[in-house]
Amino acid sequence: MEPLIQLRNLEKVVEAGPNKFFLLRRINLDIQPGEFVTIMGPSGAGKSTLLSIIGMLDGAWIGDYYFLGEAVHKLNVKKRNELHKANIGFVFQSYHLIDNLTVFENLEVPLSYKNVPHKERISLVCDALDRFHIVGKKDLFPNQLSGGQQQLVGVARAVILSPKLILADEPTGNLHSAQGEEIMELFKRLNDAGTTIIQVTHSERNASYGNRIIQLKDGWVVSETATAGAQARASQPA
Amino acid sequence: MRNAIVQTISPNYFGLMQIALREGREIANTDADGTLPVAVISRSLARRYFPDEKPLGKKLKVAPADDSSAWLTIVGIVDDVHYGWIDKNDVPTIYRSYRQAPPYYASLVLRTGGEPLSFVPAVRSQVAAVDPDLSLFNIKTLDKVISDSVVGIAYVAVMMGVLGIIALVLAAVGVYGVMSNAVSERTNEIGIRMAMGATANDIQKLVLGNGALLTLIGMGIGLPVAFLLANALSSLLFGVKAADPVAFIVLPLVLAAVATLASYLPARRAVHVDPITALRYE
Repeated sequence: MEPLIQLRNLEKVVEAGPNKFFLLRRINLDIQPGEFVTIMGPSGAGKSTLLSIIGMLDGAWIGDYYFLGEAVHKLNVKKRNELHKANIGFVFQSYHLIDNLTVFENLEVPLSYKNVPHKERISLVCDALDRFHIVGKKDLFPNQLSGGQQQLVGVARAVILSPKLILADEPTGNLHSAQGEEIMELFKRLNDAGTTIIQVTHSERNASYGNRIIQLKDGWVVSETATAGAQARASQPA
Repeated sequence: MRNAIVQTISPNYFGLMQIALREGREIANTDADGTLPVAVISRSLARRYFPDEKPLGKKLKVAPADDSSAWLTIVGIVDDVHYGWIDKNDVPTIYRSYRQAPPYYASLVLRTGGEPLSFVPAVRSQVAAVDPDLSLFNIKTLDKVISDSVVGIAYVAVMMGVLGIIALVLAAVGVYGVMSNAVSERTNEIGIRMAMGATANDIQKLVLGNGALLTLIGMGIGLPVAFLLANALSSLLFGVKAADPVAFIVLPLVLAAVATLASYLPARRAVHVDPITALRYE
């Protein structure tokens, strides 16, 4: 099977005056469709940077990046943006809902940038509201929702266009454990349904929802391990 | 009778000044001392004081009714002339013969075939031939006379223009400031939208659309207020129209262009927002 993502000797460098700092060093990574991968590591290891590059938000790096066989490193900004729009959904630690839009309007945002016709847009948003049991919240603004509810909307927004890949940057970082558990169960269900998920987390318990853990340190991949899944989770504190 | 201008003229005055005779006759050389005192009136005077009757042959007096001065017989009606710029309405005017009411001083008006001031020496010699003691002074072209008569209002107009330009610059700076601030406040939102698939073009449209909305709201409030003020001004000043196309079409377009430019710079900045940095921006 063709990997969803292939990274070859990928490096990210920032310059501060005469000095160069490597945020990522020689990353070589294959991620297959349907995987649930967790990126872990201490602060400053380069986890979020790697996620931004995989998510095509960051175009300033060197090396080779193939997404479904397409050479992302050779694409111009417009083509990269199209590839990102068609295939990737984001979930953020701080939810990143737009404050002055209602839940309904927030869910519409990704659709508005894919030129989805109005009728279809309404139908997709209604489906998402129904699927995530947030129909009753559709006219509320983000500040009228709890953190868990906001993240639920954030996940709904990420999956509304049925992306092949969901990138989650510490998705439960701002939630209490029960809410976090709920979100992780949701990710698990989405992954079981075939969506590839890459999450960044510090939580061993959240990592146990996935099937592979990639450890980063100082920009290097230091280990890759398979997780024991539900069994491991049972031994972790909630 | 109230509020009439009295002009003492020579017989050729109306033809020279191209004031059309509408009824009766002009002042003639025969209207001299000892003949029937006559007057030619303007149409506005005829309308105001003889609304339902023919004014020709009627009499009027340039003095209180019980004054012993002579009654003037109306012999002609001519078009109105604007002698002032403040009053938009025509001012009733009575024209008398200079032979029947000699003034203390006279203004000599000449229509020339070329550059008017080149005729001054010839006119001086002609006047000196009649009376060497008569001095000619304050010699001007009619254009200068007219421009001198509006110098006050022209000064006000220039000042208003300068204030208008200052207001335009302030409005542009204001729109720029508001849009700039809006872009800063929406940095996080811009990052979110980029992460959701917005292109640079989408972001530019978002910011420019916001600027256009503010401009439309401003014009929606400003234009009706300006129309009301212009309406009030048009009733006070001659030559000012309430629905002036320059004021209500050209200037709003200029303002819209300025507002678009003032929004464009922040929009350009928004396009270059780094989504990673923007998403960290709270």
